[in-house]
Amino acid sequence: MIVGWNMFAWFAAAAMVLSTLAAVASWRGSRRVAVAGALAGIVALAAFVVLFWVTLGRPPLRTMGETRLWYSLCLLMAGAFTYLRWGYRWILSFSTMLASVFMIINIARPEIHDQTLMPALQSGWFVPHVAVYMFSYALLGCATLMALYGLFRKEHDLSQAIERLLYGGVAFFTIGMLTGALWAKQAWGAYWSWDPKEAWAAAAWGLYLLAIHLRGRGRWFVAVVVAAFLTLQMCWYGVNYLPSAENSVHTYNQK
Amino acid sequence: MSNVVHKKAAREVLVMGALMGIAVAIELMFGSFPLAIVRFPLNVILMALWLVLLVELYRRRERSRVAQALLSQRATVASLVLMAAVGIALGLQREPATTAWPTVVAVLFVLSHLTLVTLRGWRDGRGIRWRFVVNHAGLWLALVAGFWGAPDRVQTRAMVAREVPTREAYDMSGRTTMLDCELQLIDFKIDYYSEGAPSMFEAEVAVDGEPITLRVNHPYHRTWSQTLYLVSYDTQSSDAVRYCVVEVVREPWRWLTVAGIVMLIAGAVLMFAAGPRKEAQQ
Repeated sequence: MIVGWNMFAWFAAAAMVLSTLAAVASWRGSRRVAVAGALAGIVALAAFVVLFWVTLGRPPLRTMGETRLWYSLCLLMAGAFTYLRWGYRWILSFSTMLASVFMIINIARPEIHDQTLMPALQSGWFVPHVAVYMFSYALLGCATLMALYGLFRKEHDLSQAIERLLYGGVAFFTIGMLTGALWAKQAWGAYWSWDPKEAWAAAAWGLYLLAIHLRGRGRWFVAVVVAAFLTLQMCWYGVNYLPSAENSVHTYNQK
Repeated sequence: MSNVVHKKAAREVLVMGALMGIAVAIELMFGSFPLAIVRFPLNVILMALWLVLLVELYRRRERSRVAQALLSQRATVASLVLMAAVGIALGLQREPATTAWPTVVAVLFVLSHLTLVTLRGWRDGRGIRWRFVVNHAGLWLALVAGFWGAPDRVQTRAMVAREVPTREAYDMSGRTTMLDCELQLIDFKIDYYSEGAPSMFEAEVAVDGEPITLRVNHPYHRTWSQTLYLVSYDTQSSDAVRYCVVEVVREPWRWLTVAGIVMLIAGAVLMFAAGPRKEAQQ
């Protein structure tokens, strides 16, 4: 079955509708419906990813649009995981909202998704490296949302939940960074060369480790979580707009 | 009590500021850290002295103010802020100043703090805290290999042609150097996508007469510390490719880096599986 980018809107719409149903059900306390809706939404988007992968003949992980696709999927997965594990009623609304924003961006700004994959990206590290990163971004995105929510709704103590998400997110972020280092050694001969993307990843990692060492306490905790997430955005796509990244070895994802 | 803590913190910030100020002054007066001078065995001697000093500091932690300051939570915060600051500073530069004195001082401070807290974690009275040790010792190994091993890392590139074998290569500053083996191009294959972009290229190269195959992501490990990579090729020629560019990297500390990375991955898995420590949640 050939599934091109022109069919993304249908799969995305199904995922958004099912995830929104799940979010509403979770607010109403219907756990079964919420779980079923959330899982169905994930399946709808995952089906597109799999079929699109088969159609392209390469993993859809190269362009910014393709990483946004994975980010939306991982956000839905992170939201469902958090809801299943800790039962926060509002998390599905947040994860659905954020995932929808990225899906809508991909519908509004369709990009060229050609079948070429440059030789440097033809590696067994490619899929685990990017997929693990996207999942960590999703968990850390949820942690940031919770930290901001906690700022305004002080009656809920969310520090434990934020800390759990941070541990999961930082664990995946670390694995993403290290698989990248092993891959870089195989492809370019250096584990770490302080390429702008690597430098921003190190900065974000340092700030996330700082957040973990603050252990959910202190007035600086939320500020550090938010600063770390902003630094992570620089690492993900912000770096592409910096003059320092003109000669970056990571510029293939600008397309 | 809180006044004492504030005074201590203010003093430590002052000391850190002074250290970084000195580093900036040295950078401005004498230029970047002379990496080439501290090659083996000097780097190993300096590292051994640094480790002896830190172990001695750790032994005197009850009496030494420096040891207490380096082992404090504030030092952890300072280390991680420095790590982030170094990342941001290097991320904004076109040519990252990895050997600038402020970068070297910052990394040495982070490593010193990490050494002491890893020792404390290892010798903790409650027994070995595996996750703590695996994560901290893993990061320590990777950073030690990257920092103290950097002067021994040699990266050169050779233009390898079909006609005659070559030993001549260039380092990253453009200086000519001689390789310890002869390289000659035997054959070069390129496949293209229908759009015209190359989908695969591979070189058959003779290393001291022995044929090997090089491809992107498929390097050739010649010795335990030396690896050959295919980085580029003659894109101008319309017929057969006349030459390719082979990168020869000698990195004797690489296995320490690998050990550190493996430990950090194991630590990350443990982090995800176990989550935050119970006392931290209470």
